[in-house]
Amino acid sequence: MKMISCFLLFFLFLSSVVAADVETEAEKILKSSVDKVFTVMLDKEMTLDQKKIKVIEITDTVFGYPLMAKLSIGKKHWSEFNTEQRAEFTKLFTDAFRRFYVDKLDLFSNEEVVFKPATVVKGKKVQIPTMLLSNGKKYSILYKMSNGKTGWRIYDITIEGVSLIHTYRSQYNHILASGKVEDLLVKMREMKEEKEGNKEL
Amino acid sequence: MRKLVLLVCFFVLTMYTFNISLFAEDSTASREQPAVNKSDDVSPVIDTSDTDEDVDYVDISMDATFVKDSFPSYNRAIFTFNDKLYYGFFRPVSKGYKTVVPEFARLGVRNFFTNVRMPGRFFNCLFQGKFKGAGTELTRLLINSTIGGAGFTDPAKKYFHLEQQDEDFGQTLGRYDMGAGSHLELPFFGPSNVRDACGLVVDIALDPVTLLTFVAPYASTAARTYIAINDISIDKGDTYEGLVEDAIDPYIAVQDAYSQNRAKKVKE
Repeated sequence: MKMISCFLLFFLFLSSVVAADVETEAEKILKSSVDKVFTVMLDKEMTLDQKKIKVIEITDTVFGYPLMAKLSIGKKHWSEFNTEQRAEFTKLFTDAFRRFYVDKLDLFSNEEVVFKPATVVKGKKVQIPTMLLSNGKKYSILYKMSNGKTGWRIYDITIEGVSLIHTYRSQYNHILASGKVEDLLVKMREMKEEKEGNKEL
Repeated sequence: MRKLVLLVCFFVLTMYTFNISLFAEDSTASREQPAVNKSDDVSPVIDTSDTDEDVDYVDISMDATFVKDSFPSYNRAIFTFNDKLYYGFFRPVSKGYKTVVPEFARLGVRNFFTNVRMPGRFFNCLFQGKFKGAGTELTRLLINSTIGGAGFTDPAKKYFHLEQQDEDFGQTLGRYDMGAGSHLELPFFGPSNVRDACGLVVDIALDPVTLLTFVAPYASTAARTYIAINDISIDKGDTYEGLVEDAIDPYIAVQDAYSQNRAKKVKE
C-alpha cells in the first residue's frame, strides 16, 4: 500500500515538474524576445531602419515561419503545392509576415506587455496569453507556441480573438478555391513587389 | 494511508481532466465561430509527402473555414465604398485633427462619450443576465460623472479598477444562440453580419447620442462622425490600415477578422 502511494506520489511530482519546465522554457523564450524588441525600440541612437533590421533578427529566432506558412494554407491545399512551390510560398509568406509587424514599429511608444500564466496543450504546445497596454486600452494577445526541431517557436498570434494565421488562411483559400497554386504565388509576388520594390527585407 | 492514496488519485484525476479540458478548449475554437462554415464537405487530403516537419499541423482548426457570405458582390461594392470613404475622408481628417488637438484632450473626449453611452452597455449587460457587469457600469457612471469631471476622465478604472463592459445587442442576440448569419457590409458602419445589423438598430435606440436628432436633424450624425474621427485619431495601432494594406484580399481579411473578433466577444 505504502509502495503504491509512494510510487504514485513520485509520478505526480515528476509530471508536475515536467509541466512546469515546459511552461517556463517557452515563456522564457517569448519573454526574452519581447524584452529584446523593447530594448531595441527604446534605443534612441538607432534610426528606424536600423531598428527594423534588428527587430527582424530577433523575431526570426522565435517565429516558426515554415510551420506558419504551412498552417496558413491548411491541410486541404498544401498537398497541391510541389516542393519548389512550397519553398517559394514559405519565403513569400515570411516576407509578408515580416512586413506586417515591421510596418507597425514606427507606431511604438509607451506600450507595456503583461504576461499571464501559460496553458500547456499536450506538452508540445503552449498558449501564452498576454495583455498589451496602449493609451489606456487593453488588447489581449495570445501567443501559440510549439516545440519542434528548432525548439519553441511561435506558430500563431491571436489578437483580440483574431488569429492571424486564420485570417491568412481564409484569404489564401479563397484564391485557391477558384484558382491554382500559381495564381496565389503570382498575387503574392505582386504584393511583395508593390510593398518592397527591389529592396530586400 | 488510504486517504493519501485517494488524495493522490484525486490529484491525478484533476490534472488529467484539466489537460483534457485544455485540449477541448482548443478544439472547440474552430466551432466557436458562428459565421464560419466549412468550405467543403470533402474530407481533407492527408498529406503524407511532408515528413521533414516534426510538428505537423499543430492547430486543430486546420481546415479552411469561410465566413458565410450570401451577398458577395453587394458586400464587396460597399466595402470599396467604405474603404474610399475611410482613406478619402476619415483618415485625412483625423490626421489633421490629431495635429491640432493634443492627445489628452482627445482621450478626454473619448472618455466623455464612452460615459454618455453607458445605457447601451448597461442594458445589454442586463439582457444577458450579467448583473455584476451592469452594476459595474452603473458604478462607473456614478464615479466618472461626478469626480471624473462629467466623464472626461476615468477614475473608476484608474482607482477602482472597474473596467468598461464591452456589450452590445449583437452580442446579446449571440448569447441567446442566434447565429451570425451572412456577412453584411453596412455603408458608413463597416463590416457586420445579419445578427449584428439587427443589434445595431437596438443599440442606436439605446444610444443617448441619438437624442440629438430631436435638437437638429443631422446633429446625431454629426456627433457620430466626430466620435469616429476622434477614435481613429487615438487608434495608434492603425488597426484598419494594418489589416488591409498588406492583404492580398482586403475584403476577405476584414471579413474574417470581424467574424473572429465578434465570435470571441459573444463567447465572453
